[in-house]
Amino acid sequence: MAEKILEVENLCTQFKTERGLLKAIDGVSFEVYRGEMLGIVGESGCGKSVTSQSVLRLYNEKNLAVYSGQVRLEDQNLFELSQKEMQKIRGARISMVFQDALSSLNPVFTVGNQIMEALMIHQNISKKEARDKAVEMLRLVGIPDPEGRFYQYPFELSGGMRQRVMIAVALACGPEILIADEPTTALDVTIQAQIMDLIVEMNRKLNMGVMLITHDLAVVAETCHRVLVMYLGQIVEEGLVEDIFDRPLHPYTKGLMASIPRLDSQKGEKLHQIKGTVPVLGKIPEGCRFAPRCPYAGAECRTKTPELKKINESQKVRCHLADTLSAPCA
Amino acid sequence: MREGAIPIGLSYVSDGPDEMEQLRKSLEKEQRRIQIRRFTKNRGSVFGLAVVTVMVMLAVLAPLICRYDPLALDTVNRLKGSSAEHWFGTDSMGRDVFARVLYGARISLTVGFLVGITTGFLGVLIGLYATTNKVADNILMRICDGLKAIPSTLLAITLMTVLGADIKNVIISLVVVSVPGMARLARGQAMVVKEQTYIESMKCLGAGKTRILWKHIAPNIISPVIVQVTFVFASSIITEAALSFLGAGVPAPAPSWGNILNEGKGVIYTAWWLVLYPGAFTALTVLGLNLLGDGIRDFIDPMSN
Repeated sequence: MAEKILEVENLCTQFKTERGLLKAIDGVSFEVYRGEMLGIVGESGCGKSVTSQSVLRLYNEKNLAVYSGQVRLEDQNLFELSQKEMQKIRGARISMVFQDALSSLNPVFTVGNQIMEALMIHQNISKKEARDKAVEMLRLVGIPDPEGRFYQYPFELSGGMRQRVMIAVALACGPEILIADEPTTALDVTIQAQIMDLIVEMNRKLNMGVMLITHDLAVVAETCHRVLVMYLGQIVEEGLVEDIFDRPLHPYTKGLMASIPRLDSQKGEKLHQIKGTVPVLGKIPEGCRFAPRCPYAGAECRTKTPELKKINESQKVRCHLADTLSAPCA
Repeated sequence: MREGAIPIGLSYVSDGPDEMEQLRKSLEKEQRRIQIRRFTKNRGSVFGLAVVTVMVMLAVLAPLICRYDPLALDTVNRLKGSSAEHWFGTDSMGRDVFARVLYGARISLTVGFLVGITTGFLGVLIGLYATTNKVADNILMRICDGLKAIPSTLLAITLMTVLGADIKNVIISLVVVSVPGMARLARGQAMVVKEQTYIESMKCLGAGKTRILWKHIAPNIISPVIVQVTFVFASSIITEAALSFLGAGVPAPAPSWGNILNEGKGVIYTAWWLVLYPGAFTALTVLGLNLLGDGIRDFIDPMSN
């Protein structure tokens, strides 16, 4: 397997609230390898975004968040760095692309300027060099007439173009890891496909690790190599894309897979849904966190918290019943 | 149209850089025309711009327009009404009122302008700094609240009494009076901008706090600040006139609109022109500035009405 670039070990992120500390992320461990696409899926509120933002330490540590565990970027624990050192990592070695490109671009600067800005923060280069590099980045992300677009403001571009510009900004300094936080959610389907193609292409060309955060399972199936399935701040299943889609082991993953609308389903047939909703953080159930919504849950599930167990070479699952349930998916 | 260009609607895509360039230029031109039309459609703002321009021209060209020195005494021709010699008549010491009003415009406009600019600058500085740090925010904003609690003219008079009558001190005290409002405005706007995703994405890019504050937040709050500057400009002219009228502003014999009014109030029944002209100039300028400010606001943000 390729070289490990990012290793997250037992990451916990707690938020300080009026009701005390709330654990949003509880013991998440995973790695990202060079050149791979790692999908992180789960319902809203399961901690996908919090995980990615914690990796970059974006939450205010003074009055919002408490981190524990380790995030190692090539043997350097990011949680031990000062804010100054952290700034040198953000954007240069780990970059992020957000969901809504219009609100992620500063409305008073031209798109070219914003790419230049990214370059000039991290690299000691002249304005002219930065300009040339920015035009080159615009061309790289597939924007026609990059010299002309350079001088346009974000509001003058279409949604897809803006997302391309965001990707250009994120990739300007040649990061080792790109975190894409639902990069296609705000776009229509054809543009979604184009942007995903672009991310995959960049992933191959620049040989960087991509963490793709999404709730669109189809996108994951098509683009990712490995998948993490998260539920309520924990990883419930981890494995190669084929494992997760063909042989899901965790009842939650099975539920997710069954929820994908199929072409061969009958007209009028109800879509599958996972009953219930994600519990609020303050009221995390005892035992297995998924037990209250799980159709298979037994007595053990409601009292004892399951561990993330290795099932085979590539697949891990957090379920007491994994062995008994490994029959084909329902 | 070049060969190989594909027609799409009214415009077309082509591989020729000159054509793209031309297309962009004509688009820019069109955009500028729309903006100018938006400004000129509002009669008030055009009128305001015209008044302010004329006032500034009169002030700048005062030495060329006036035949008399605003300070030259002519005790023979005291309190004379309008004539071909003295368009606006003369005052109780025989000085030409037209010259005094124009030279007064220099002082009043300079005071207003400097106060507006300084207030804008300081207000942004304080407002932005306040957003960085809770303690500083509390201290600065409580000071601003305190200053705002005192009626502005009263505060300005007090400051003038302490500092002494001098044009420099007029500017200082007017700045002190108007900075709190500007700081509040800048702070409020900066708080909104600070929460925007693009500021977070700058953080993700590794930009430091100072860089984000000055390079990314500041340009986003500048348009309301510019509008507020024109209003501060206008209100400073009024307050300066009030101070001078009360004898706490620009010291005599230098002419400012408030000064001339002050000198005229004693003889208002016999020489009404001494009060009329500086008063009218003040009112007109302030009206012009306010209309201009409104126009700029609509120009910058067409949604505001």
